Amino acid sequence: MTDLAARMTGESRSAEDMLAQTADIVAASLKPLTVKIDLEGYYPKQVLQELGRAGAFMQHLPAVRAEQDHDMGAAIQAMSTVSHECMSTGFAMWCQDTCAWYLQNAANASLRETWLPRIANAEMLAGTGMSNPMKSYAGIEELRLKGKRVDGGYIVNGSLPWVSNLGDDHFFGTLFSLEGTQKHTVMALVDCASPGFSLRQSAHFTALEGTRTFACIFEDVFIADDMIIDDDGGAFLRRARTGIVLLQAGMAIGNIQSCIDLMLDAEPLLGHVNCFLDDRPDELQQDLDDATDAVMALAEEPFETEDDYFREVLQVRLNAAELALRASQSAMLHSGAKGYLNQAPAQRKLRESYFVAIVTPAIKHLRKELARLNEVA
Amino acid sequence: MSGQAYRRWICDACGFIYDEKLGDPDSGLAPGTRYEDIADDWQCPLCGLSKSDLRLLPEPNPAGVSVRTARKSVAAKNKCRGGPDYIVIIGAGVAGWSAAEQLRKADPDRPVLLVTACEGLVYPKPALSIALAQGRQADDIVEKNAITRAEELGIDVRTETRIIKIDPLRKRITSSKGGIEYDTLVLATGAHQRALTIAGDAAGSIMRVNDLASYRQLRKSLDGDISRVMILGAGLIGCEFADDMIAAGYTVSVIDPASLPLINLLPDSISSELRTRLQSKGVSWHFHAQLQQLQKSATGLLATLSTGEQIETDLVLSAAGLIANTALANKAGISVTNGIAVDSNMRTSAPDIYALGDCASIDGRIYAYIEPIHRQARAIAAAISGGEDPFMSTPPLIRVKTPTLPLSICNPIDTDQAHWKNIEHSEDGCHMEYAGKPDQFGFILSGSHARHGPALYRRMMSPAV
Repeated sequence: MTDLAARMTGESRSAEDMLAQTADIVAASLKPLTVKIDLEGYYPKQVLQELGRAGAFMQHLPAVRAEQDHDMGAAIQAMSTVSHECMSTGFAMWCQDTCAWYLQNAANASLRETWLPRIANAEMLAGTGMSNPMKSYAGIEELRLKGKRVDGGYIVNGSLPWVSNLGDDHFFGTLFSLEGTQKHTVMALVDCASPGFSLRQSAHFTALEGTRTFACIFEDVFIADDMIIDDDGGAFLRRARTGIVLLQAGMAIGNIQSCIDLMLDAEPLLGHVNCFLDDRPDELQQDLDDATDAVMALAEEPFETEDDYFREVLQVRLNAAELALRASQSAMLHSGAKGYLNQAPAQRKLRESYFVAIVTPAIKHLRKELARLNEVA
Repeated sequence: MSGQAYRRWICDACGFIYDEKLGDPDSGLAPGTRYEDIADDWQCPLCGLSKSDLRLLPEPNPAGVSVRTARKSVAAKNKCRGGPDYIVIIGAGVAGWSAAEQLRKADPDRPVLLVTACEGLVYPKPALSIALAQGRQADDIVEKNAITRAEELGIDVRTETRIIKIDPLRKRITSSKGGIEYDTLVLATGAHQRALTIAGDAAGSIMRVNDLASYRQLRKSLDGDISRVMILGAGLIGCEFADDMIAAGYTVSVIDPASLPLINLLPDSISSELRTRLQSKGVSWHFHAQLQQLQKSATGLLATLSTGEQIETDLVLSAAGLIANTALANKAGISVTNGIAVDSNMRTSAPDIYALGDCASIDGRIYAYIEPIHRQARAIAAAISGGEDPFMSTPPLIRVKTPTLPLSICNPIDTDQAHWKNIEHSEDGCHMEYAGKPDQFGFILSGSHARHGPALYRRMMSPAV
């Protein structure tokens, strides 16, 4: 057992136990909150911490597991179980999982030792401000954070719109460009309580409220060397990118399965007329099973850095986003007027599925990146 | 004016369309009011701009087919998910397309789907190593795109679709774009150039070419401001590229651990001749050596060989031999040796799954040349349609496209130097035949004799082929 694993609270449990507990937490703690999260923007902090205690955020992290192995597939399944009920909470899980993944892949071992166990059990809640950097690597926009080397660390300035799962006592991973260099970037763990750092809530969203999403303002924020995940941001992103994108499949799979289940629920009453619709539940289920198969096969090698592998990951992610749009559209049509009520699951799934399609990497971003990779293949 | 067709005008500012046929009754313009008859003080009902801001809208495409519709049908073609009666081919190299052709010939009605991770362009692969000196670009080699070829053959095709998993029990393939069902599966997954372990900060820049996409990258680099190329490997691909690049004016060095070029295919006498001829054109050979380290330097790249020698170059191309792509088959539990193991009907160990080309191994031998692929495709087509036309494991005809000394080789397995006999030898080439064991035959034709290779091969193989 590693030192880190030994320090994890709670005994190590099998993926089956963790998934069973996750299902229980969804039924007992999350389900009563779903509408409040969606319509009132309630942040399900206790639910996330319960999930953390159940081990939902440590499956993909060899550094905190007794066997030093990973079960990325189980991490995705847990997120899918939660997203099936509420994708706001599923997305907050992705944020937590992904920030932990940054530390798993950190070049700075002491930073990993210090913080990973606390994020892996959700004692500390964490987000990821990597939308802008990922778009920047795909040539879609410029890096918004700029750092300057000073004694013992960096001074960072700039702003990031829309970073989720944040709060004054949260942390998040992000990447900034280094002043005075051509393309050099640095990956860091940011403490939201740092002097000069502030969170600003500006807009409200059509769905995914309750994810504590803020604009992050950096005004001469000092980030010490011991908070640097990797001083070569490009190399870091290459190591971490497969896991970052694959984990998102948890949201898609949960959303799609819940859409299919809604269609099946409508079947006894409306089957005789719903059979005239496209994308019937059995067809979508077949497509989802195929997509899940692909995700689980790729999840076996989340540390793979080859472009060809990443290309498969991007295609699978794209396929999942497109399938989510089809499934939610179909769930809406299958549910009919009942799905159009303002607390109905079908209309919520519809709004949530658009998030799968536009959260970074969005469908257009995925297609652009795939086109680029095809050129350099 | 009255007999003329009505036209449509668009407001540049807001997109309002003024259709002469419909007029603008709200502003007092009756249906049928021509643009010329609109009063100058007329205002766009949406944005308030005037008549002079209207622009004539081009007529719709007379054929009535918009580009959108044409594109849509292509996308639909790229969505086939196979079915319980489908033959699915994975791979769009020479092997994949040959299998499609032969299957179509054997049965015009059977549904066939070809799936490929690349664009699926149809091109003669051997042309890659002779295009430079001919002044042809990578895309000049392309004969057809995948959709056109699939339409000609009457098959379905899916391009840019990567296969992640094969499930032989469910007869289902997991692709990155969804599931595909099959009845019979043909693996034509090809091979890749072996990656050598090399140190140094420029080791990542070493290029490997085994398809059109990687060749495009090579040409892009060669078109840059460079003059010196280093080739790793003096085998068939290495020699062909060396000849092509030297002819195109590059400075070429070739590194190989062996003692002569094409040492596995030729008797020493001809290997030596090839070496001398290419050397006289400027190729700098470095035998008994390997590249150990490649580093960026002020003027390009600095290569350090295992012999300690250092060579300045601008680009390194690795041609160190092919390795069969067997990962998919291996993961599916299909038996794999140095390639996907097949019998003489090209059947793998899994039911209804066949393999051919650079990924397939028969009795431990991979026939990574063009000529045997066609025979393998015929064997598969026959087996699938219930007949039999087994692939004969005869030595293949190998053509080495080195214009400096063209070669046609039919080389039996386990030949020894002593049994090659000179039939004819002159200034511009030679004709050698193998006179070893009585049941083995083989020949080597070089120079002006090389073009007789296919005819001689047919004669020697008959009636075996």
